Amino acid sequence: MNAGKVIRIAGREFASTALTKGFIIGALVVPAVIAALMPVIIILISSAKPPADQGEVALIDRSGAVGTLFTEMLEPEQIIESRREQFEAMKKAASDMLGLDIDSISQDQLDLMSDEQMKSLFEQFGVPQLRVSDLGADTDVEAQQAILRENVSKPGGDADRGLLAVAVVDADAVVKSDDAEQYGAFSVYTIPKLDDRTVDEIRGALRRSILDRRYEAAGMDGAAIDALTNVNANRTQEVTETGTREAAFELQMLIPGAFMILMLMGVMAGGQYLLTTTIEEKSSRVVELLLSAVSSVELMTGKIVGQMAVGLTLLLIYNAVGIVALFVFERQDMINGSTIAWMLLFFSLAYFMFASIMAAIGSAVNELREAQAMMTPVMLLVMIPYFFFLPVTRDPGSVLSTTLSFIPPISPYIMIMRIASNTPPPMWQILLAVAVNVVGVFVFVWLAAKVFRVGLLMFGKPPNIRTLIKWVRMA
Amino acid sequence: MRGVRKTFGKKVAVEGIDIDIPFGGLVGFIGPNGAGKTTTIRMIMAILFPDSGELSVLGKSSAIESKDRIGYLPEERGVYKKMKVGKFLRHMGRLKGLPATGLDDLIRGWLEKIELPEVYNKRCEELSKGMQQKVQFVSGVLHKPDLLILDEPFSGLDPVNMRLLRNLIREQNEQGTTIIFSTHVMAQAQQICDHVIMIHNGQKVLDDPVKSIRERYEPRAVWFEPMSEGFDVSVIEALGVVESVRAVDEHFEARLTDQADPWAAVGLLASAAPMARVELHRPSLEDVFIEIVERSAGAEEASNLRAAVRAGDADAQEVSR
Repeated sequence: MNAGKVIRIAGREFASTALTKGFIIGALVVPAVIAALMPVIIILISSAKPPADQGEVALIDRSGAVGTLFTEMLEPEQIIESRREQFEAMKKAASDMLGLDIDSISQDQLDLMSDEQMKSLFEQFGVPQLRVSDLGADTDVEAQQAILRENVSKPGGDADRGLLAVAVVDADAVVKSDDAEQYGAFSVYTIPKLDDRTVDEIRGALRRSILDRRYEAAGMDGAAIDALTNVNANRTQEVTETGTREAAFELQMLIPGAFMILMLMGVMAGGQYLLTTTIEEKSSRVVELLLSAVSSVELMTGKIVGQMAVGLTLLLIYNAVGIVALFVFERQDMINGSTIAWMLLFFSLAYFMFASIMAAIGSAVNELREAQAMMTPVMLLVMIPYFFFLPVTRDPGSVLSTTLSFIPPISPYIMIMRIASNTPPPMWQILLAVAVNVVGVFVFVWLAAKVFRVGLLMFGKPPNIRTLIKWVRMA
Repeated sequence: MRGVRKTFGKKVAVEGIDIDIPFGGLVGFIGPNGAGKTTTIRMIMAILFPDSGELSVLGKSSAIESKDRIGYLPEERGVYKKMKVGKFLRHMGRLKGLPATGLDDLIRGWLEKIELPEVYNKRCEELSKGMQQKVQFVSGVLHKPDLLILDEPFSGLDPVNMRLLRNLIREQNEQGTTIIFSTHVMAQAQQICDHVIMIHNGQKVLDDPVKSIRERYEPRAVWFEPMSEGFDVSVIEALGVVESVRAVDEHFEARLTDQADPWAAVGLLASAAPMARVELHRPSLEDVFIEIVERSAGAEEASNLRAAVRAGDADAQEVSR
């Protein structure tokens, strides 16, 4: 094999793919634009004012106890307050998952807006304007449903739509009747197209007002019960060399997955481009001219190497973005240089196997459309690492994980997940996986080269598996 | 090539071919479509590999080792559509082992020669098919090959460009390049080559210098054109030296009997009736080819072949008009 020619082919392959407007736009500009547009999108979303429900909620309170409390809780001010609490809880859950210490991060790093801004945002999102009419315990539910039915077809928007919902509280919802084991229930009837958040608001208000009244009836202090049932738990702390910091188990589980997906993305991108350029060279008939200058093995190797550089470029770009992000959140120690080095090695191995398949397919078909049918089994193969993401990250040392990490062509993806996990495999396993994959690469490239050599000059009906096997024997 | 055989599945494409191409020769591979010419060429180029038999190119056992010394214009040819012509030729030149320095001047010189100096910075897809073909020819000769293989180089070219390309091919040959030229249009081979190899059904049926073919295949037909219209050919048939007479386009062709002396026959025909033209018809490669097939196969196959070959020649005449 003439290395100079291989490099020349690879160079053209890289230039014709990565130095095109399409690639630069797709790989760099689009993510950058999306990142830049994020604040604009948020502003746009927040300035759009969705219509809030306006109308009446009829309460049929057979317990006779919750009316006042329920009415208070559906005041717009109260609704905003409860929504803010929900948001805070969500934010906390999210930051727990990512292992971020909310208090240590400055406001503008984590919060896009202050409390005041948030409040006005909630207001803008539209707080339902609900009038509660307490109809008394004896009101007929059927009659109220009939009124609701009349309102079904009334248009929504900012107009008052009249009766929107009927809330019914059972007589024994607050005070249990003597022989019953359980308290009574509440029911809500609404028109069909009521905002689900409005319905949540109504149900929430019913629930809280009933609970409060039950505490009172039982002679208990609601606030004391809340305090009793709420256990404040401090975050798990990891003791590091320099001090302590909050643990981020979920993030630690995500990192191996991120490595696997990054690798898969790079492999897929390079492989797809390889498929396209191979089909292009074949269908434009330039291939025989090329074969007069280089051998088919040189041509295939050059193309594979060239597109590997493309995949590697993407991989490095996204890697760099990821590393910057980890630095911003001061989690840079979650990955280390050796993991990245292993990733580059396993990427190359995974890529060579995938790319061989792509080159073989590209050479066998006449146009991209014909390649789609052959791609289906290959895509299923690519999906396998996804399927095993959870079991492998959860227990990187299990028999399953260990076995999978020695089966090419999925081995590189599984291995990188194990290496990036917090219980990395022993070195001998990594080296064995490398060896197994190197053998895999040779087998894949060898088979692909045979199909490639025959396929490139075969025009007409795309081959089936049997024909492909014949080609391998023939070449 | 010694006893080279190549099959595709059950189909035998080339069967036991022996070929020697002398250094500096201009050899034509002729034969109808599907005869096995392109397969033979691809084996010489080491793009395909023979099932059995031996092959040596420029003293090496495989063209792979001497690819940089071979120029090739394949029948299935194309260009990188989005690439600029200059860049494309640069890429091909570098792949053929040319150094980067001076390559641009070389390319511009060749573009000048093929009368396309303005296309250097144009994308290949902007060129017409004929222009692309000339660019591809340049990619085959840029590196001054010792062996130049041209597979149907004239197909799709207009007469002016055909002549241009013919002259360039001759020029290459005069500079010492060995040339293999494949065509199904036999008239082209006759015009250019000094040696032809005929391939039919994957077998070599003729391998001789054009000159000796002409000598060997003695003329057995006289073409004549009578002065008067509505001429009665029975007069000619009655001469005794003529086997059959048939009308061919504007004239008649009289096939001579095996015993007849052609030169005497011309005299007999000329004096038999007032003639505008009487001409001893030298066999063309096409006639020779058909005769060979007729001898080896049957009359039916030969007539099929005649039709096929005529169709090819009709194309050629179409463009040379």
